[in-house]
Amino acid sequence: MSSIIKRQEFLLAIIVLCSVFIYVPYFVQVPAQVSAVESWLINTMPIISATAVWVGFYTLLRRQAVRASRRVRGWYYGLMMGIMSLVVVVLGFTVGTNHDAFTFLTNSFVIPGDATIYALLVFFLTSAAARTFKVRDIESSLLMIAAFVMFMYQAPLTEYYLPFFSQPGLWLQNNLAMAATRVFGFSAALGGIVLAIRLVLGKEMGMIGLIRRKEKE
Amino acid sequence: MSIFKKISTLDRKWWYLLLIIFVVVPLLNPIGLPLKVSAYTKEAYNTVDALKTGDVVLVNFDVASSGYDEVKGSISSMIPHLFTKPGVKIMFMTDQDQGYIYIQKVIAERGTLMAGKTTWPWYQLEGKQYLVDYVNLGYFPGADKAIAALANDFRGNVGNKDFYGNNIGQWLDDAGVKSAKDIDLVITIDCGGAVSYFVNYFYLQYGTPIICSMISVSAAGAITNYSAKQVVALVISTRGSAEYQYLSGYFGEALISMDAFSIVQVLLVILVIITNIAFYFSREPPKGGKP
Amino acid sequence: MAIFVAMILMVYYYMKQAKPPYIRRVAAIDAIEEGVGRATELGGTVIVSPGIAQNGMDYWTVAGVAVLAHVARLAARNDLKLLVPLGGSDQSYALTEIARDVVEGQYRLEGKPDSFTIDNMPFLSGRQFAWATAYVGMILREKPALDVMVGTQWATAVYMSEVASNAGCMQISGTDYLSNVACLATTSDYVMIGEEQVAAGAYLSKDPVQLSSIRTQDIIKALLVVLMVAGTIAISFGSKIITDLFAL
Repeated sequence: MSSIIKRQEFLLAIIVLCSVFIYVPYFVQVPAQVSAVESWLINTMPIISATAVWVGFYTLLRRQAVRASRRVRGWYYGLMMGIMSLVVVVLGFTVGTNHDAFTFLTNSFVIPGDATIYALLVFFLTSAAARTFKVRDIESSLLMIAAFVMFMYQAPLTEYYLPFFSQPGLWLQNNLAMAATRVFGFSAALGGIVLAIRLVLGKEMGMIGLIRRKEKE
Repeated sequence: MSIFKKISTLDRKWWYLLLIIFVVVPLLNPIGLPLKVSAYTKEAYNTVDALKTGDVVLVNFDVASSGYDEVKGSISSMIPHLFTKPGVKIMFMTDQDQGYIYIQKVIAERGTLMAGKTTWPWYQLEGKQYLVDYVNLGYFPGADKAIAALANDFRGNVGNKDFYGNNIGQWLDDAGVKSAKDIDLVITIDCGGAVSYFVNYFYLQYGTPIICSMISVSAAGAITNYSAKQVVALVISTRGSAEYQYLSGYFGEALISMDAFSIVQVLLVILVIITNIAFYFSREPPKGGKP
Repeated sequence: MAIFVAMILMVYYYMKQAKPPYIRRVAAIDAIEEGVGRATELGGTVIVSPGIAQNGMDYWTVAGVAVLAHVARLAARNDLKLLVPLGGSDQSYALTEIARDVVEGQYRLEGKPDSFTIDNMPFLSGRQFAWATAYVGMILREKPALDVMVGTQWATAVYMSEVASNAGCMQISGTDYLSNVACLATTSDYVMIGEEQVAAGAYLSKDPVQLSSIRTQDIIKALLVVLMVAGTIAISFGSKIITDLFAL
């Protein structure tokens, strides 16, 4: 049995079957039994995601325990992370996520940390903008002009007192930026379809851990 | 070293210091600079205002602590505005693990405890009471997979219990929610990419109108959805939140931060102009030729 | 669905051709070898992020893993230290196991299974900003010669690439977020835009079947452009024939 499960053909058959059962009912009317399989597959996806979180949590704890036992450099950080993870999990199971203790941990540690790092982005964006928007050639000049118009359009102050930037700004946003975004979306979607075709044809097996045994130089 | 060379090689920390000053001072001492309301936000306001008795609204809090500061203005104004619509039933949900914290936060800040109740979830806001006019369906993990599952089998995936363990089967029946197509409006407060999931699984399948309040990095993609009429309205980042606060009358921090927003934008423009001038005058001329 | 079926048939058609189809050079993907060469000369480290897998194992993450596999093979071949800090979302736990398996497989294929160290592929955090902060810490401590950021990279991409750029790394990046592509273009040496990242795995494999899938994708794109232009002209003259065709 395990030899069948490990075979590439078996895994490929699962991929193809799941693809057909999810993809075809989206476009054509199918019998109720096929729709039921589609529903079951879609409803199972969140369960698999949640299970992956538990697998990851277990491997994380195991790794940190091994590092702590070997006293690898920085082992105490891993130990701290392991202890805090267990505290949060135990609290979640015992008193629930609405309890003050759980809320305190989230509001005091997680939320301020996340918000602070996100707020730091503005400094990096500022230095990137100062470095990038330099007039070196025609393309960078055009970029500068477009950036200048968009800045003037986006800022409430300049939009109010310098309203002549609104029309060019809107035009840039609704035509050039829109076109670029749509092209990006089109090409990404087509790339995704082609990747799915390669998966179905069994040409992206590396993703599920099956490395080709013969490499052509 | 010439002044231009000095400016072009100035350590970034001085620019950061200038940024901090120009953000903090207007926040602490608001000036009251003017603000124009954009068409996107006006449409969001009008769509919520046009809700009628019997409509069912699904509000998704795809809110994480990182993006909360950008969307808190729209949360604190759009949600109370929604609650003022008589006869409208509201279901909250979240696909982010921290989302429920912000659902509770906005209702606790703007609302009061119901008579005889001492804790969650028994709050009332603008006359709407928990388990009478609104419920919290809870956290649905799995991002797009969760939204797909809800669109596919709404009652089956929601079950009969809310986030707090109360029975909501009868409430859902009374509200007329048998499947996802019975939802009349989806409002998604987006710090991730939830709007694309709702477009894919709710709008494309059932034609459900969607309003999205999002962080600024998601704006480019969301404007494409808006232009294709897949999303009826947008509330874009802090500026959109400030506009919504102004329209709805629920003033807050987003409006106050518009002064700093404007000033920093102008500062960035000045910074770019200065660095360009410094770059131009500090360039070495090519050997043996004109500069 | 018609487009999907047409694409499968076209891939099959090109598969059967004797000569693999011509695919133009993609500078960002070719630069990976240049970067690894730079790292070998400097005796340095290579750091790779296959993405945060915010939406689980979607096609962007699969593309990121394909690039990771390529870099891992080159690193194993050149005896370079390869760091792969994993994490960034609650869906990244699945990616962690897959990425470790893929990298170990590449080391085995190069005949150097003992060179693989799981400690070089730490799971940093399931939260995006905590992961990014730890990633930046690794960059500042290890001073890698090459930093490859592919897959799904969200807001933290700007932060990480700016720090890597200041640390002197050669930076190759790609992301699914259009806004981030613009930011990464300002801080990275090479950027993969749009489907270049998704096609990277096929491009690097040089496998005729996979190359034919890239050719198919380009043909469909060209066809869509023609239809768009035709539709614009038709609408300008008051005809809705193209729009009605898509409304079917």
